[in-house]
Amino acid sequence: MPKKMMRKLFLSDEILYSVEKPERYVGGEYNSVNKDFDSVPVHVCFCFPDLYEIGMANLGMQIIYEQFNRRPDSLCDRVYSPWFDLDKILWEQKIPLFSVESQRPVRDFDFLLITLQYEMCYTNVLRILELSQIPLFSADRKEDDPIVIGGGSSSYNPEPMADFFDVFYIGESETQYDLMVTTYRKCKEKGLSRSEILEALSEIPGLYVPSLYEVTYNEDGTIKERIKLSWKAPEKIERQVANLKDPLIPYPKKPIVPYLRSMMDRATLEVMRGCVRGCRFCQAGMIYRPKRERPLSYLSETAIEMLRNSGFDEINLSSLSTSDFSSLKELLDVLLPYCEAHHVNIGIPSLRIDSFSLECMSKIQDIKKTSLTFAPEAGTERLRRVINKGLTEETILTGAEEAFKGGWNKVKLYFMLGLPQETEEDVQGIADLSDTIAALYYKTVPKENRQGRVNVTISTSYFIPKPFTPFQWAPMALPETFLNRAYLLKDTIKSKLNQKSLSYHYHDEAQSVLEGLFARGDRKVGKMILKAYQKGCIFDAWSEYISFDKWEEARKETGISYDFYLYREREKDEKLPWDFIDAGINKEFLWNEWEKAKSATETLNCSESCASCGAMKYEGGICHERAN
Amino acid sequence: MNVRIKFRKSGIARFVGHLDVMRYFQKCFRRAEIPIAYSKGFSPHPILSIANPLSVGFYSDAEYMDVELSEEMDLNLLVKRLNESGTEDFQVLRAVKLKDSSENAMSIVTASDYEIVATESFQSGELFPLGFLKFLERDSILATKKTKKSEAEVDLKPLIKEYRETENGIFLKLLTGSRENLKPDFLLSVYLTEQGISYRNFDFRITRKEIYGFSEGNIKSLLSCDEAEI
Repeated sequence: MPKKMMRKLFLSDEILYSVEKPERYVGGEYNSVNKDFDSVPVHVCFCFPDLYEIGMANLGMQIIYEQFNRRPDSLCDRVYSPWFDLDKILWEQKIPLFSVESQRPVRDFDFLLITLQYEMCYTNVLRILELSQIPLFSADRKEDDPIVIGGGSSSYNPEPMADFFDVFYIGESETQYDLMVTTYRKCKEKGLSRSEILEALSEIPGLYVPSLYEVTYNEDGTIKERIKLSWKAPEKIERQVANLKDPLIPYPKKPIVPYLRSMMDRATLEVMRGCVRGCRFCQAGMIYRPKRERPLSYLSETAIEMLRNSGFDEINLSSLSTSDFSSLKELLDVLLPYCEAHHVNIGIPSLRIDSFSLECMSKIQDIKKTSLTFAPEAGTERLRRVINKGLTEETILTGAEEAFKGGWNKVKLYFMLGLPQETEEDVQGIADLSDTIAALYYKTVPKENRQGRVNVTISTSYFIPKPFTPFQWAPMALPETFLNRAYLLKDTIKSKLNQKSLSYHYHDEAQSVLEGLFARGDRKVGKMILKAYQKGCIFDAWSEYISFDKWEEARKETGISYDFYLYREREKDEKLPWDFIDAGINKEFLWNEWEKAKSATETLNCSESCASCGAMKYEGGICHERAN
Repeated sequence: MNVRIKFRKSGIARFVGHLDVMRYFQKCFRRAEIPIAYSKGFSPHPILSIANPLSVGFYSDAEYMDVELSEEMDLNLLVKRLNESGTEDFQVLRAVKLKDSSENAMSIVTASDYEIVATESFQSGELFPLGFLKFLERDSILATKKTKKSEAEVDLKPLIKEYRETENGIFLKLLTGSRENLKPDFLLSVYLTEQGISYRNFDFRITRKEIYGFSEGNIKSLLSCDEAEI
């Protein structure tokens, strides 16, 4: 028997045979990279702070995994949140949390990279640190502890978690992680101390070391000053923007194939980043500017390579708004024949509903099974102008009509409640629009061709103002307001002619309030997160496990006020906790958009006209393509 | 072309459940670019079936699956390509061509060989292997078997075809399949419970060594059943 087959597992059989789905903890997946731990100088452990099946799908993790593993001097392992059963065993028996590939304690690594994809994973982050036997506070860590780095979309306001991370990486990972490894190696060769290393890392653009800054507050709780504690630390942290045209940037062409059925059992092909639409509520649309596409030839080759290397039977063409990908038709011309021949399904989420998209979708999907999704987000033209969602009722209805003619009879409509400038009329507008769409079905499709009623599903989520959007100054609606509007909508729907074709779901409001707090919180909020964690809060992203009672206790005990963080409108001159990040979007531009929102004035999208947001300085993407 | 493939389960493959094993091989066939046939209809899937599910936690030197290929292909090449596109924990050992008239492996499975070895954590040395061996020698072994609908007392002895001591533990040949089925861990747990000890799955390492099918009046290893003449 070859030596390689006897890969030693960290946990005993006794433990592995007693927990649910041991596949979560043993690795050995096809395409997982198993370098010899002792043969490389730099060890990175990448953490997705949720269950294995949730984390496996994450594209960011796969890109970083490839980025560190392809270097001869580093390796990258994975770690996920252990489920309750293993967590209990690890804690009681004082067994340290370990990585999946090397099956070694996380604390043996040089770096622990934790991705923050959503705010509700914060208590899981603390649990990962504690199970790994790494001090929760950055200030308490010793020379040998891994350097704990946070990244991902929630890190654009890192302040609530500032006490627990040594470094935050702001922006796209492709630009600076290689320099970080090289810098780290040089520091180690010189024998520098941990604090010296952190200082050196702080000089790399995009890397934020929270311990090098102190924050002071005014009487009213707003930020007074940010004080640099080291002359080396930069004033502002520059968001990192990758050049997607560079053929050498890392991409997972050999995606790991999990044994366990994960959330997304498919290959992901990211076709572009950024978005031109400029919807005022959308953080992703702002922090990934400018819109940049990957080259068509790169995409066609990579797609086929990924499928060949993995054997997945589905591939997703992913981006914020794939309808805006200029080479979508050409890419499909290459992929469709290959996928048909190899029995591979193509998924294209986030498509606008127009005749081109419908043609695409009918080729790649089983019409009877899928629903078409529209996201008007607001119920009236006026409110859609407020949020700058450039989608007119005419466009929606034309799209719906074409879809119905094409054979679809299931429609999903996404809206938000609690938007700025929202009135009861806007809420009723949701019901009006939905009813009009249902009526259109019966008008368009003759009785003999119908497969029963049309299914129009309406979904409303609770609007959360986010940093780096024009709505970062907006007050979040009170939970009572959200609920009252949901009830109003429910009643209005019931009164509609086609109410039997309409169904309505609204999201639970309590979790959104917490999300809102973390999204726009400051360092003081970190104390509440710690308190909630100490009370046993964990897996908060799971509605079955979140304990609102404990969170509320934590809030009261730490004196955090929702009125202060959420429900008030902020002033123009207020120092916001995330202002120290230069996201490439001018604060002036955002404020201007906020004012335009108040008068329901639209801003054209980037392809139509440049609004000078500031993203042009990144020297790539739509800003410069338009000029040509 | 119908093919029967023999593979091993070692290392972490023992934790991979039956459905996950099927999904793993479906992808493996795709990676290896083997011309597997797809079912017709709404959501076509590769025509692949596993002869007999193995309990999670067991090792195996002989698992079997039947696949339908859409084209003829050299079977040595098939084995080679599957191993190149797969993990070592699911090593593919052999592939044989089946007669056109052959029945699916699942329907002809009759028995399995197992080897049971006690691990370091097992504390009651006198009970295994010697105590267990004596237990197996009895004329009848009564046990309560729970089905979905009821509980019934059955005699397990007729389901035990062979047993003997080996260098490291115990060898068993037990009836397997849809008609009559006896799992080695169940048998062991009946004995240990009788002795006042609870059965813990990590106390024993259980390896399936072979699966047998009933074909043309004989019981043969699945690899030999319905093998097409060259």
